[in-house]
Order: sequence, then C-alpha cells, then structure tokens
Amino acid sequence: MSAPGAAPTAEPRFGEVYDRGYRHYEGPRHGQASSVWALARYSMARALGFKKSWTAKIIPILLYVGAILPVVVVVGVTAFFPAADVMSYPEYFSTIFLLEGIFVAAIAPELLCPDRREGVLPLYFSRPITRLDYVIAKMLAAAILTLTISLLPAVILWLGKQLLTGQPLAAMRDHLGDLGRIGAAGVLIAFYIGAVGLLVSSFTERKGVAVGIIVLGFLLTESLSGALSVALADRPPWDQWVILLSPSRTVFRMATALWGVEVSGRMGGGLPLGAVIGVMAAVVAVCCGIVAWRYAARD
Amino acid sequence: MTDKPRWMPRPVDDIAPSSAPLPGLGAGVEPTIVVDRVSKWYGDVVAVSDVSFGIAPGVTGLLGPNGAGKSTILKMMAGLLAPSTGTISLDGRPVRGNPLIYRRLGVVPEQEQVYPFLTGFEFVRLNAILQKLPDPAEAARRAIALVEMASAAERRVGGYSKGMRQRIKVAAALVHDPQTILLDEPLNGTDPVQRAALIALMRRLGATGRTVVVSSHVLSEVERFAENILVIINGKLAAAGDFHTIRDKMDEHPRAVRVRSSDPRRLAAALIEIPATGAVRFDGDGAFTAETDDVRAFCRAAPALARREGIHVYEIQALDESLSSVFAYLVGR
Amino acid sequence: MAMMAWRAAPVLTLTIRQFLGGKTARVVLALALVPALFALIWLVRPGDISPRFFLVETFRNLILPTLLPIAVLLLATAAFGNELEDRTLPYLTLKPIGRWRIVLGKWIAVLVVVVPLLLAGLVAATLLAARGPVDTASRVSNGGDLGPVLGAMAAATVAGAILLAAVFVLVSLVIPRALLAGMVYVFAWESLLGRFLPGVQSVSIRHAADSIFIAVLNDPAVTFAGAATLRGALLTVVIVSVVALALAALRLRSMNLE
Repeated sequence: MSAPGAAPTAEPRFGEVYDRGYRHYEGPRHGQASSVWALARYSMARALGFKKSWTAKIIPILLYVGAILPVVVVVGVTAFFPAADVMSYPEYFSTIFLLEGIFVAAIAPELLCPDRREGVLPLYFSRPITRLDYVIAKMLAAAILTLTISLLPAVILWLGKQLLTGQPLAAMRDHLGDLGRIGAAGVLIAFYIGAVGLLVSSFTERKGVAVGIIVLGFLLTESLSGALSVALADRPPWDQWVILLSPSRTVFRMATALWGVEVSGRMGGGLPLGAVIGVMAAVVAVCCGIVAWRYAARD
Repeated sequence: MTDKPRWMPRPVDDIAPSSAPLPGLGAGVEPTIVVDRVSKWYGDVVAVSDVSFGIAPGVTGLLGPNGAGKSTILKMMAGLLAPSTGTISLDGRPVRGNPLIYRRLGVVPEQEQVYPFLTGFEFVRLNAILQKLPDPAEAARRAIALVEMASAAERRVGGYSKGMRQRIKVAAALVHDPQTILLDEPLNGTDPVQRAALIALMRRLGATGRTVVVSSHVLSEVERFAENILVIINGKLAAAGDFHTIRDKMDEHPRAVRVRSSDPRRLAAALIEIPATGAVRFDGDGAFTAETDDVRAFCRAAPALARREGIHVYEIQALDESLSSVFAYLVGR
Repeated sequence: MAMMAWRAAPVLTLTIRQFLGGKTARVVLALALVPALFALIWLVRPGDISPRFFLVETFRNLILPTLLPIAVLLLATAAFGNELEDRTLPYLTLKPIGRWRIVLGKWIAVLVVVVPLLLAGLVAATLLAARGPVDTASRVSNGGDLGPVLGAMAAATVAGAILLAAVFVLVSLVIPRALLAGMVYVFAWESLLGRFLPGVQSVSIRHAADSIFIAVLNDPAVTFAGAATLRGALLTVVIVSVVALALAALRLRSMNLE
C-alpha cells in the first residue's frame, strides 16, 4: 500500500517492500518433548521470578532460605552435641510442611493464572503444542519446583547428619534406607501439594484468589479435620480417616508410617501406610484429571 | 537543500543551547509541552535516549515502529513514568508528581482494559467525578456523544469490542474538556468507520487550539490528522516537523544503496559519473554498495545507465536500518 | 443513592464494585462463615467444652491468627493489586485528586467489605455456640455471658482489620506478590518466629489485636504473657495505620505505572 496523500512522484518507486529479514526456518526441528520441556522451563523461570525485579524474586528466595534454615540449625546443633538427635525425619517433614504449602501457593498460581488472565492460551494452542502438552508442561514445572523444596533440604539434612559421624562413608551406607525414605516422602509430598495447587489455580484467573485458597485450604483443613475427628470420636474408624482431609496431617501420618514411628489415634496412628499413600496418589490423579479436563477443548 | 527548512532534526550529540528553538517547533511558536533532554532506561536497556522537543497547539503525531519508545515517551509526558534524566513540563509546570496538572490534561492510555463491570456511561461519569466537574452526568453524556457512543453507553464495558473500548477511553479523557490531550495508539482495534470518526474528532480538537498528541506506528494514519510529526526510532528523536518536508529531507540524506547487476564494475564506473554517487565498494557476488546523498536521483539514474550500457540490474536496495530506511518502512505501510 | 455514593466517594464506590464483582468477595464470605461451620461441628460433640470456652479458643487460635489476616489480606492486596495487574490504575492516578484520597478510598473499601462479613460470621458462630450444652448447668453459667465475648471479638476484629488493611495496602504498592508476602509475614513471622522469640511477637499485628481482645473481654482466666494494655494496643493500631497509609500515598505519588 502506498501512502495516500503523499505527493505523487514521477520517478519509479523502488523497493517499497523490504525484506525485513524474515526467513523460513529450514534447520532441524526437535520433537514434541522438546517443546513441552521448553514451556516447562520457561514456566519455572517465570514462577521463580527469574529476569524480573528483586521484589518478584524475594518470596521464593525467602521460602528456600526458610526451608534450609531448620536443616542448618539441626546439623549445627548435631555438630556440637553429637548425642542429641535433634529432629527426626518425620518431625522435619511436618515442621516444613506449612512452608512447602506457601511455596506451592507461590508457584502454582504463577504457572497457570497469568496465561489465562492475559489471554495468551490461544497463542500457545495455535503452536505445535496441544492442550494436553500445555497441561503436562505445567505439571512438570510444578513437580520439579515442588521437588526442589520437598526433597533438597531433606537430602542436605541426611548428608549433614552422616558427615558429622566419625566415618561418613560407612554412615551413609548404613543410612541408605533413610535416604530412600526421604526420596519417597519428598516425591509424594511434591506431587501431592503440587497437584492440589494446580487444581486450585485452574479455577481462577486471579493469582491472589488462588494463593489465598491454597494457603487457607492447607490451614483450615487441618483445623477442620481435627474438629471432625473429635466429633466422630464414637464412630471409629471414621475419626481417623477424616485426618486424610488435611494435607498437613496426611503428610505427617505418611512420614511417621514410613519411618515406623508410633503416633496416637488422633494423629491417624491406626491408618496403614499403604492407605495413606493410596489416598495421596488418588488425590494427585483426581487433581491432574480435573486440571486436564479444565483445559480440554470443548465446543 | 537550498531553502532553509523550518526545522532541523537535531543531532543526538549536539546539546542545543536553551535559546535555540526546540526541535518540532516553528520559529516563535510557544510550546505547550516541553520535553527537555529526557532519557529513560530500564536496567541496562535504554528505552529513550536524550530526547528534546517541544509540542505546540494543533495535532502532533508521535511516530515510530513498534518498540521504538513512543509509548515510553508518551507515558512520561502523561506523568505515569519518571524520566531517568531530564524534565517534561506542561504549560511550564512539571507533569511528574503534580496531580493538579490533570485538570488541563486528558490521557488515553495504551492498555485496552477498562473496568469491565462498569457501563460505558458509569466509566465516563467516574472520570468526570474524579475531575470534580459540577455536573458529571451531563459532562459524561456530552463526551460520549462526541465519540458517538450514546447508543452503547448503558452497556457494560466488559462486553465492548476493541474499537468501542478505544472510543469510551477517548470520551473519558475528553470529559473535562482539557486543553492538552495525549492519545496512545487510539486507532488500534478500530474499524474504518470508527477510525474516520476518531480522526475527524482529533482534527476538530486540534483546529480549536488544543494540543493533541497521538502516537501511532502507521504513518498513513497519522498523515490524515497530524500537522506535525515526531519520529522516534530506537529511542531517539529521528525527525520532527512537517511530514512532507521530512520526506524530502530523507531523500537528500546520505545513505547506502546496494546494487546487484550482471556487470557491477562497468555499472559502478558509469554511476560514479553522476553527481549523486559518492564512494563505491564492491561486495562480490555481482553486487556493489554505493553511497549517495540523493537517493531519488541515484535511483532514477541507475536503471537508465544500465539500459544504455546493456547491463541487467537485478536488485537495487537501500541498506541501512537508519532513519531513512525505517522511515521508508513507515511510509510503505 | 448510587449516584450520591459515586460523587461522595468515587474511589471507594469503584473499589467496592470491583470487590463485589469478583471472586475475592465470595472467598471472603466463605472465610467469614468458617467459624459458624466449626461451631456446628463442635455442637455435634461439645464434650466438656463450654460455649464461652469454645468461642474464646476458636477466636484466639483460628480466627485471629488465620481467618482474619487472610480475609483482610485478600482484599487489601487486591485493592491496588487488581488495578496493577489489569493496568487500570492510570484511570485513577491521571486525575487532579490527592494521592491520599485514592489510598484512603481503597483502604476504606477493604474495611467496608471485610468487616461486616467477618462480624456477621462471628454473630452466626456466637448464636450457634449459644445453643451449646443445653442439658448441663454450663449453659446457665456460660451461655448467658456470650455477649461480652462477641463484643471483644468484634473489637479485636475491627482493630486487626484496620491495621492489616493499612499495612498491606502499602505492601501491595511496593511488592508485586503482596499477598504471598503477607502470608509469609502472617505464618512465618507471627507464628513461627513469634514462638521462639517473644520480642518478635510484641511487634506483630496479631499481638495488638489479641491484646485488644483480652483487654475488652477483661476476664482474668483469659490472658497471655506480655499482653499490651488497651490504650497501648489502640495507639499501636492508630499510629501504624496512619504511617502505613501515608507511606502508601507517597509511594503512589512516585510510582512508575507501565
């Protein structure tokens, strides 16, 4: 299109349409997995506030510091008082749970809400990325991020404990079982709270609403299951099963059962490990199913 | 080159003494808005680099490709952003940290979002109330009539089309009848009829002595309402003044042209004879690059010379991403 | 009527419309009803817990540390947060009105929405609690004096809401993830750190609200170590709120809005 109103000129007009450098891409293309991974990687960076102002990074940093601080304290105390077993692994996992909950509230809404609020989903889905790919990438990002906070500090705790003994290598060999249990607990917790966080985030565009519901959900269900447990005291075993309504109590029972620690009935002492893990896996499956359904194409 | 132009694009490295007229102003014209040596950077990214100009009453188009810094400049003029260095004043008063300035200034922001839960009328009336007008409802009705939105005024903004949202934003910015109006890409998302109406409105506003600044990346649009233009490229003021004058200046500006032909050496030898051609450099692959200070003359001469010499010309292309080629890009749109 | 509200307090009216149109207000309503839900569960098996004890414990261990802060935080951080997220704030700041009026309008809007909802929830919980152990003598001795408990809960809720809203309206203008920062503050600072370092506790919002609850209830059996006097706590609420709102107005003045 020529500029209307411009004075007509006699000379031949040249090169009105310049090559703006657009080229067809002829190089090799990676497969679907690579695009999913790219989206997951980008999502993780965004959730942690990479390439943003320090004010966007401060919360994830504080949460990581908060997760590692107890580990440092425990290892430090153990160094000076080797006899004292300051904090068992189940205690560690239950201490850290609220922090993990806030961490999920920090990252899960960041993974899903802005894309919907800013209306960029059609842009993703008009690329060679399907709706399911998108959901899988976001779940992958959530799983990896929650693993960094549920697993890493616990592994550091394990390493610290072993390194402070006289023979670290022998101690490590002797405590491989603990490491395995830490891995199992860390993965279970990460998937469990990550899935719940994504579920909540898939129902609102507002990050704030999702953050509030996630943190409150973790807190209120704890009080709620406690109250229900009291109210149902004369209807066993229901007074124990209602514990599984609360993520924090579920995780506590899972960790204690994993390490074979006896707990009272009010804390779910009668619930077998298999049942707890089964319920957690079911929660993950249901949450992921609903999230995938929320993003599925509908006419 | 003979007539002294009414204005001069200001070289970036030349800090004008305060007595010289600002770029964008004719001699003896009093500016409404003065942008004085303004830069804006984000971290190590420079968005606006040492820009100075003045804007007088009438319609001025703020022109440049997307990402050139137009929006940043307009936001600084509106007082939304603080310049990293430099000052911006409206009627001699700083715009930043001076809310009272908004009595005389109306701004149509770039973003499309308007409170979706309000009706168009409620939104414009809210602006009138915040402007402390004595009869906000009446002022709102008048402003809505100006943008021809009366029939949709009782509907929620959330259900508006892009063009309707743009128009209701314009109504909100005009509700207090400001002397100065800044519009950031107001024609985005409008259909041709709405565009014509908005353009007519801006011309009317300019004709009644108001200062109207409109940013756009489409020159053919800006031409239809702006008497003066400011061209922003890569965060720098590239040109200021009347569109046609600038266009002529462009073609007199020295620039590089790449010519690909069947016999580059012979063609270059022939071309070097004409006065428009400066230095020539051979690039191989049948091409050479010629400096010229008169692209029009060069491009008129080259094909004629080639025909005379029996040489096939495959391609003549302006090379530099500088002011002139970007301007050509703008014109070409 | 609506027109008068718009003219008298445009920012306030706008923000209330904003809250009532979105999901946030519904979440806050659900939160406000949680105490009533707990009262219902408690009614199933009250055991030897008297209604008064139930209310005091629920308020001090559930409402004050969790429900109240989250309910207020949700709205206080959304008041400016939603406008920043949607980039609609220029419609307010590009106006010849004092920045403090914008801040004040937002702050009052938070209180106008959150306080009635929370108070309604407290009244509902109190009414339910009053139906507590009917067949025991405890109803006579404890059921009758739920009024003062409700009064103390209301006073502490209003004071806590005023303080939290002022502080987090300011925080939302400084940090992009203000709600999360608020959660970290409430749960890390007030709950965890406060447990280890009592000094931290006395400079927390919860401490001020709890002190007011204790002082208004004036029951020797209900108290905690280091509680501030009513005067001291009220003074804290007023001073901190005024300073936070003033800083918010200053921040709004110097803020860069994209």
